[in-house]
Amino acid sequence: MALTHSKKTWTFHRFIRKFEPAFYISPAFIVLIIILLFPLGYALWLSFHTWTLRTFKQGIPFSDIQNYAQLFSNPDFLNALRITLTFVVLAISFELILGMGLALLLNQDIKARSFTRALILIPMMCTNVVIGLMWRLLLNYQYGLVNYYLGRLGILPVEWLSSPHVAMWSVILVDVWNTTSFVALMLLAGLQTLPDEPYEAAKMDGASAFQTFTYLTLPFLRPIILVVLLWRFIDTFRIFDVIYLLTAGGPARVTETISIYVYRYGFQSFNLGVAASASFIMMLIMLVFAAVIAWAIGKEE
Amino acid sequence: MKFKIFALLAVLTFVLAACTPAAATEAPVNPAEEVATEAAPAEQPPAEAAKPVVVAVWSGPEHDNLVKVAAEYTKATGKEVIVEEVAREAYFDKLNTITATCGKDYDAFYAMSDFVPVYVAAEGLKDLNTFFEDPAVASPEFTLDDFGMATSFFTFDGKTYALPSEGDTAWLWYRKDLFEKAGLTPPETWDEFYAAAKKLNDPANGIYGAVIGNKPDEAWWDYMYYLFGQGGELLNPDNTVAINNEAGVKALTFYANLLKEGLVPPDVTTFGYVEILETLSKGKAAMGIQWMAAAQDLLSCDKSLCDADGNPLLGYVIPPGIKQDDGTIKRHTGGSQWSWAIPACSENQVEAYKFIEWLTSPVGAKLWALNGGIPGNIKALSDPAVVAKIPQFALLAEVMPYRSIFPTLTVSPELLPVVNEGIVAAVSGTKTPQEALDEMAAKLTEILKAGGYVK
Repeated sequence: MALTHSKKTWTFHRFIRKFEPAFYISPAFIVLIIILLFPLGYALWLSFHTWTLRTFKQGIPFSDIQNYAQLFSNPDFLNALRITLTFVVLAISFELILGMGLALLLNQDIKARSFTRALILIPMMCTNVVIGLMWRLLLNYQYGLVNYYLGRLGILPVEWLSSPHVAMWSVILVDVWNTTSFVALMLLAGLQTLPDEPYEAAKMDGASAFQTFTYLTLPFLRPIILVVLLWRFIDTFRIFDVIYLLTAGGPARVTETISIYVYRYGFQSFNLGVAASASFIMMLIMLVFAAVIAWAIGKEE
Repeated sequence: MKFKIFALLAVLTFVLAACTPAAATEAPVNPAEEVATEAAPAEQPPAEAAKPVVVAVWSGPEHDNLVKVAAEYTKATGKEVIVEEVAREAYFDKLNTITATCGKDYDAFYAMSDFVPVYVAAEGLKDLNTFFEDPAVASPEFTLDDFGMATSFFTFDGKTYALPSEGDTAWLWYRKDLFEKAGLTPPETWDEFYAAAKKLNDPANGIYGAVIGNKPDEAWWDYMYYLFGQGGELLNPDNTVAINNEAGVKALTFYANLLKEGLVPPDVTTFGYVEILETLSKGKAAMGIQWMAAAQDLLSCDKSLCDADGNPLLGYVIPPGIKQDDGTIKRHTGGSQWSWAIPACSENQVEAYKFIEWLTSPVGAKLWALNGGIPGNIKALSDPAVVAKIPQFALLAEVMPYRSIFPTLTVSPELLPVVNEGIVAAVSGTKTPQEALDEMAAKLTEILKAGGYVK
């Protein structure tokens, strides 16, 4: 009897030890499944069905890849894709260049360095809704502060948000204002971990500042730059709130990114099948890019 | 070991607790409870009647008005009404979402005629006939005849899904002082409109000849007066597309040229109702077409310009038309028709119906009108006190026979963004009016075909 009782107890202990970690992480895991995988799965299902507000009560028929085919033959979607890629390339380029400059500056032993570092964090502290509304007021053609001060300098007012030729640059400006500081901080953190010896050796060899930057700093910072690039790509590719508040995708769709396109189809025309398809195409593009960057980071390591 | 078992049990308990459905915070509505409302003895008021009615309305004068009028309802009946203000730009998106998801956020909402058909198709609205036929709910004085033909916009297959409210249109608002100074009279034709805009255009001194709106989601509501007024149409009677015919191209060219020639503020591509209202009330435009509902702001010295004697500087007339050979002016104008509807999934439908019936009754509609709104009830519209306070209702009665509203089709919410997009493209100059209209027509035809309205 004693032997059987020991065997049972030992099996029970083994079971507990084996599955104990699973029990502790199960609540978080269940929540993750519900809030992440379920909506993803449902959206994927929607993308292969016809779902409109007008017809869903009569049925949600399977539509094969029609939604996807419709997107790629729709010039508005292709336009949104082109605008998104343009926005991403330009915004990230400016952010990296300005962020690097700011990081190099803050890495110097300048006066009030700590204060400056704190100051540049201010844009990051604002929520996107506040940023969108604030800049919409600042860039208002008639009442905005920007045109007011331009006027004081004798410059004619600019149609920041109402001209099809300028609106895209305005939204890029706002995005750059918002996130350059964070890019700078990440690069600054990288700069501060760089070893001193190669720089001393380069100095002794008579290398110029530009040569030092090009042949030492940039290669050392490559892994961090790749991480920043990955993060900024994902963020800018799916941008919605700031642009929607500034221009609602206008004027004449010149700032209509894919996210805004999806919103229009999803919540205005209420064609959820097409909206879900567009969302998945977005996700696939981001996944491909993320995979490429991850491979590049892995190669660095 | 014992501690670990205890910890595991504790985790399991928390997980199970989290999975338990939340206790209902409000009594669910079911047919049995609604029947109980009829049969309940007088000394036990039904639980449903105690719940406040939550009504959604968009930002603007309608919200301000509803708050005042709802307070009167509360005074008269002791029943609470909660008015939920939804941002104008997001209003229809919010209602679409509630309809699609059987949302219980609201018990009633302010519904535009363009959207009611699709909400009916989505089974998102309560059939009000169930209340009309219930003597315990409907008031004995209530009759749909009080709304005239407006009810037809909200009646499908013999069932009425909303009670008509504002039947709106827009006036041509103009700066009386500038016109007088220039020796001009308010324009009756589009040529006169253009000439007046050109003569009064003085951007150097902060005054433009006119103001228009071209915001991405609102472009149609500002443009339609120019289209209809110049003989254009959106659809033919057989639902085929008409907007890109000769009159349509001429109208959009006229509209786009106002910006091209600098006769309107350069940033009109960001202008909607709010911005046009602001421009007119600050006197920055000599003319502009703006909704009647804006009258309470445009004719108020607190919010708009007035002369030294306290008279508003802005006057209003019917938008221009086309001069005929016999000298008369042929007019055709635009507008909108609003209503109050009850979502199918509301859990307070009886009280919601009682509120909207009161709101659209001669009593409620009169209060609505006296607070600055446009009553949908004919008796209220012709009430002597209302007519005395708001003389523009006489003009509204004149305009009604030739007022058109956006088509009330199940595909109307899909048509509207396409129409807006085309107008915006032409005005902002990214496409010529002909190109924008032809592209618009092709897309509209596809949508109408998908909806079964054309072959």
